[in-house]
Amino acid sequence: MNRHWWIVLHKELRDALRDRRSLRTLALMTLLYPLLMWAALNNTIERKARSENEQIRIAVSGAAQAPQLLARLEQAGVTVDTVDASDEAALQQAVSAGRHAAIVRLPADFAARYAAQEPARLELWHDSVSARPAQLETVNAVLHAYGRETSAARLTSHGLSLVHLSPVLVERFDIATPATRAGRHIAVLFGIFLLAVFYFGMDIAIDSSAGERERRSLEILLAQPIRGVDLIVGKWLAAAVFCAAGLALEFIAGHFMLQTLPLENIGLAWQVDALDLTLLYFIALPLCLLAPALQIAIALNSRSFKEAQSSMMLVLVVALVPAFVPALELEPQAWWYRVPLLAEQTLLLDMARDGAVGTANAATAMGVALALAAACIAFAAHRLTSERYVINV
Amino acid sequence: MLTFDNVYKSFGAVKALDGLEFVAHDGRITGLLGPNGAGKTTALRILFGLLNADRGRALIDATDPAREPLAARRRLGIVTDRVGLYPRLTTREHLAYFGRLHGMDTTAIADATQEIAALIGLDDIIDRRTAGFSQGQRMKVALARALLHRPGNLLLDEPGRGLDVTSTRALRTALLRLRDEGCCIVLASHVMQEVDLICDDVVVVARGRSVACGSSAELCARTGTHQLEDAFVALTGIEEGIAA
Repeated sequence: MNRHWWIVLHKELRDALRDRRSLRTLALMTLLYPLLMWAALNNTIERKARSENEQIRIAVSGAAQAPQLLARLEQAGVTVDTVDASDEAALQQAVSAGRHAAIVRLPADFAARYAAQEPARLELWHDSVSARPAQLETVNAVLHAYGRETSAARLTSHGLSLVHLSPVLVERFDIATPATRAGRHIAVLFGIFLLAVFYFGMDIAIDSSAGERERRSLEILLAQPIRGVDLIVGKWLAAAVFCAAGLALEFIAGHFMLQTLPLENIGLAWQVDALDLTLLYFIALPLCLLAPALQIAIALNSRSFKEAQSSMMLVLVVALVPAFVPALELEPQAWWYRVPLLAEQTLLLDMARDGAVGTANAATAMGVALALAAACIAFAAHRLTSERYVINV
Repeated sequence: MLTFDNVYKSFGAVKALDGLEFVAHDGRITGLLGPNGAGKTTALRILFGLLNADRGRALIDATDPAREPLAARRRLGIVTDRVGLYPRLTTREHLAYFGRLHGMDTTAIADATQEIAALIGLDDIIDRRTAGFSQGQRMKVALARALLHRPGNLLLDEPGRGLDVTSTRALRTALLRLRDEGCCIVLASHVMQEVDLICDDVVVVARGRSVACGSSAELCARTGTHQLEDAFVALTGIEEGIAA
């Protein structure tokens, strides 16, 4: 390693480690995405558990007309309250009171039509905004099963078999395992983790470039016996170290959070070991070189920390575009591997699907990121030594 | 020794230096006097190797900063009015950083730090972070930073700006000592009293050219005036740009 790189890197890291702002950003961004992921998954798990344990309570109006239906509902674990709601206004009020998942109303002629073997109308009142779909589904299923049983009984009484009602029998086999199902899900989540590379080193990248101009220390620094390119490389490496450390902590935090969650309750599994995690990290590492290089190349043109921060927002917006492509669930294209961030996310999806990544694709992704980082550094070094830049420092 | 040999530098239509010519000798303090926009900062930046002359050349001892900027900068100590310190680093850490950039090892930096701290009087601030330093303290750090590698040539651009009497006197004492040790010192300023008091030679610069060189007394004699300020006005032919 070039001696000057090391000197600048050492100074910038020491400076940044004393900067509460840089450390706060790093800590916050390290935990933000893993915590969001944990909260989202935990919420799904808890909702599932709640709906499994929760009693379904419905109200039936005109219950006396169908004692068998009531028995069916109670067999299915549905608690039935009998009410007397004669008009629509009373029904609406009862539904919006929210005590019941639904209200079943049997019109006055229900028993008569049922006995006459005519279609007997039955009303199911519910609120699709506030009700839980799973509960409504259960009630619906019981009502349909009751209907099927009735028709079976009637057919049998006419000497026909129920078999005639089911000419085709469909059986489904899903070979997805909890692990593979989780793969895609979690690859998308980890893909979002990658966005944080634009935050981890941002403060140090700005502070060591635009910050030098704001403090008016850049001219003196440029007048020292160090080449502009070495100065830039040292500053870039310092931001990259922050970025790489942040990404590592983020991956580890995400890994442990996924391990502590009872994912099997929602049909997922997290079976990534330390080796897989390291491979994921290694794939994403060139982004930790690209993001700070881009940030320094841009921030160098700003005269103040604030001005640089607004330019950074532009970088973030541009970076967000490829980041959301995988969420669209399109068929991956070859060129995806040549777009930083999108490439790394596609590789994560490959790994989730196939358990491995294509060497050529990984090399392309890493090569593109490294080449772009080098281009940014070359641009920044060129700027720093140009006379037009120097007369304005 | 610093030499400007017929140096020209333009930025578009603006002629910043228009044949600047003077020599600053070792063991002497040379004052570079000129109104705002006379070309002093451009001249210094050519010495740092940050700007290249269009024509002519500048030399630091025998080194041309346009050709060997790093070698040239090793021979220079620089103090500008833009002190530019890192608020989260201590004075000692500032000195270590710049010492290492100049290729000094840890022992050399420790020895030089001790020596410079005694020369400039840094003992009370040596291990303090520079955030909140007064202008005088900041200038002391900047001067120490410029002197740590013991350069043969020291360039100061408006070093007295914002300093109180004590700090100004301390700076003056340090500069005189360095001069006596053989250092070539160039002091760019437009504060007449400061230049008059400590400079052995004065170079008056106007519109990118050196219009007169000599001691303060010589300049007064040549213009038939009694004060450097009057001589300056007579030589530059302007009334404005003089801050006292």
